[in-house]
Amino acid sequence: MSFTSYWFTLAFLPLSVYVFHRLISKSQLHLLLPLLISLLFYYLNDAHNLFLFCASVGVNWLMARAIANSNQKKIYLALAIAGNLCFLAFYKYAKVFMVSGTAIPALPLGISYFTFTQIAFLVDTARGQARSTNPLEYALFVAWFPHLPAGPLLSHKDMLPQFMAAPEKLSALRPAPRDYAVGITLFAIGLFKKACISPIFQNAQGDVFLRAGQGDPIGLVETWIACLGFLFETYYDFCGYSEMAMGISRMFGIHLPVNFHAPFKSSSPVEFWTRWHITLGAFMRDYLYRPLTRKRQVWRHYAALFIVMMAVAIWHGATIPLLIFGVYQGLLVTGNHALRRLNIISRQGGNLQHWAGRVFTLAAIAFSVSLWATPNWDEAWHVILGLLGAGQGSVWPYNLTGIIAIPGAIAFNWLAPSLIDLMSRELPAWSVQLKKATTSKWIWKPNLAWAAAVAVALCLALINLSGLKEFKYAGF
Amino acid sequence: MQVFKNNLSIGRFFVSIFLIAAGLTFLIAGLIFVVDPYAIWRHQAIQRINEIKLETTSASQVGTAVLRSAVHPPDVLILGSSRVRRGFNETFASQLYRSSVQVAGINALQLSNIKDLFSTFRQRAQIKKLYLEVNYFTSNACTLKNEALANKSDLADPLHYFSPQDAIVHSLRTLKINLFPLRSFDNYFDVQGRYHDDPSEGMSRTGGMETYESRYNRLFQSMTNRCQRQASNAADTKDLSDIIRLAQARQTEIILLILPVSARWQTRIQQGGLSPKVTQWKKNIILVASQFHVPVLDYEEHSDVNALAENSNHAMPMFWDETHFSNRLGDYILRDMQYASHVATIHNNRQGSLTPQP
Repeated sequence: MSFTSYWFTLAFLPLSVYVFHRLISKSQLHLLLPLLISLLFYYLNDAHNLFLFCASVGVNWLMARAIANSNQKKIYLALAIAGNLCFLAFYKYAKVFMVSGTAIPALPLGISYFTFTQIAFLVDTARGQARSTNPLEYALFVAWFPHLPAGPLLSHKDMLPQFMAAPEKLSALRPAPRDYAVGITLFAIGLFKKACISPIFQNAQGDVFLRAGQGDPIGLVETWIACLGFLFETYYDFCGYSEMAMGISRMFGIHLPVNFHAPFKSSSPVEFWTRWHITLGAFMRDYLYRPLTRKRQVWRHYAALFIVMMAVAIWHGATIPLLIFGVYQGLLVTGNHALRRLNIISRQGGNLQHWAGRVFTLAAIAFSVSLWATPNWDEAWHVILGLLGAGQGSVWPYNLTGIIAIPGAIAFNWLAPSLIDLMSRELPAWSVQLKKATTSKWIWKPNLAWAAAVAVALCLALINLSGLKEFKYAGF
Repeated sequence: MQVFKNNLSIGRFFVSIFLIAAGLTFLIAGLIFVVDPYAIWRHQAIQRINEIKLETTSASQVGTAVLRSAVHPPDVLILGSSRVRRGFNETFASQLYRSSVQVAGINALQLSNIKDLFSTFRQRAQIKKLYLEVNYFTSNACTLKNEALANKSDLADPLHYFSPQDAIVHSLRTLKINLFPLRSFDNYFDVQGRYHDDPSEGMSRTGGMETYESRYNRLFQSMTNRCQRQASNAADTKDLSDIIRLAQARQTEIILLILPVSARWQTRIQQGGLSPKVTQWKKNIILVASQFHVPVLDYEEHSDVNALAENSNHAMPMFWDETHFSNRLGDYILRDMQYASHVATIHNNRQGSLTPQP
């Protein structure tokens, strides 16, 4: 029962919101009710692994208690992290190590997301930065269902304070009417992005990757269109999911962090990675990059950046192109930092630097799609040749969809405010770090224009739901 | 414009969303109801609205077939792949048989899916006669599959019968093709139910990207790549036996069809080294059918019907492409099917000339 199924959209979500709204006033159900809804969601999606999921939550809570109360924090922490990483690696990379013919265990729903979330909690517990929680709070924090299929990665610093009721209130989770309005807007627009916009860019790719895999000729322009198409398809798929998760959560009075904030407005690769999959970036920064750069040496800083990008790449999959993707992104990011350090480019920059940076960043990220979207090196190399104009195909493509859709998407993403910009006043300050306040006249308000936008987005999305592919990051 | 920007109370905001969404839903449902793009509930076509029909897309073929059988229960069902859908004219068949005939052609309909599909049909209609197309490429020897049928629960769940997106797009395209002049490369069913395709060897639809020859080379390659298993697959025997038992248990007369392909396609099969496998597979099918006294009408090597169709004074080509025969040949096959099923002999023993009925 994916977020993009009719059962979820028309039955599970409205019913669970209604039941929550009716019963939340009862103090004994304060946190239990959303936890039960989350476990029901897990059961409906992946009943086989529900016990495994509960065991992971239970064991990690016990480990967190042991770390908090022990003098040998480091030993317990190392054990807990190693256990979590082995658990994750066993499921994610089983197919790499298993003998052919052996049955590969199915990936438990949200394994990466709940494992990373718990590792962060364990590390912060050892650092003394995490508050002690009761099992119910902890279980809800990890199991809260909107983040399970494909994130965002949750931080206990953002989530746990939301579960603490003010002394005069029975429950902390009491959504106001405005929360429902904001929630349905985020959900509808997110669903629209996934159901209506993402498939356009899937079609725009044509059969370029297929032909590249077969060694057939591919042309220069069509390869660039296919790579940009893949990038935009992934963006609208994942960003749509993240906004849906935020919207669903908001209808239960829980705020989730922003995961995508207009990444194509980035004028450098470093900025891009602060706007694309923000919660993964924050996790890598806090729990990998910072521990590696305690000593302030330049080489350590660059090496840590490389390691972070390699870790991100390996998380995507254990293939040769993805490893090269990690090296490529590491070079881009360290190169970007080096140019800043040498004052060749400034942080502020003028208009020319800003726009040149946007074009370069988009082109550089689109180029990396050749490594990201291909399963083996032969196909990746063929796509790279296509991007360089050496793919032996005719320069201009016959498929007009991409020629219209890609420039349209670039212009829209560069010039129009993002949904997060338009809704920033309705989001908590911690969830979105805006570069500057938006002054658009289309800023979100409960008015007829936004009601029409939500209604049309919902209708169009529901029409397009059947036969829709699962979220790209659902199998991580 | 100011009215759009004025703040509403949250209650009114939700009411506005509901009313706009409900209005849009009624508008869309009305369009689909009037156009009836899959010809499910309308007996009479509306001039310049849905006289000309488009081919149902792959995603909706199963749903269309099942719902049509529920709304207009057929006496005779001709079930098979896209070759059945494009080659047989349902209106003509109904006139010929003087009873309700449904032609259900579902892309790449596999033998392994037919049992479930036929069971679903049988829940909704009392079928007296079933013509079932069997084909090596949709047998268990190959892994060619129809995505819409890959998940068998689709058949049991009405929610999966149709894609709303497909219904709207199909309605709009049907309206367009009825309101505006046809283009040379449009494929459609005319007012008489005859299928028309682009006879210019598919060039216009592929946009000139690749030649007809290379397109079919690739299609054949991709099909043969999925046919690596043994031809005399035990799964075929089981599936076919199950289907026949199911039909016979409910007094449905069943006749197996092996439909013609172009000489070029046969050459490809020979050049691809598949001939021995196809021959072996066909022998196996005939053997299974004979055990149940089920006739097999083999038009693949049946020159009489081809010759009759070729000599007819008909404007249509015999084949639209290498695998899909046209109504020109289909009409003769239908006549022969009617005659052959009257005499009800098994293929191997069938003798004598085939005289088309007037």
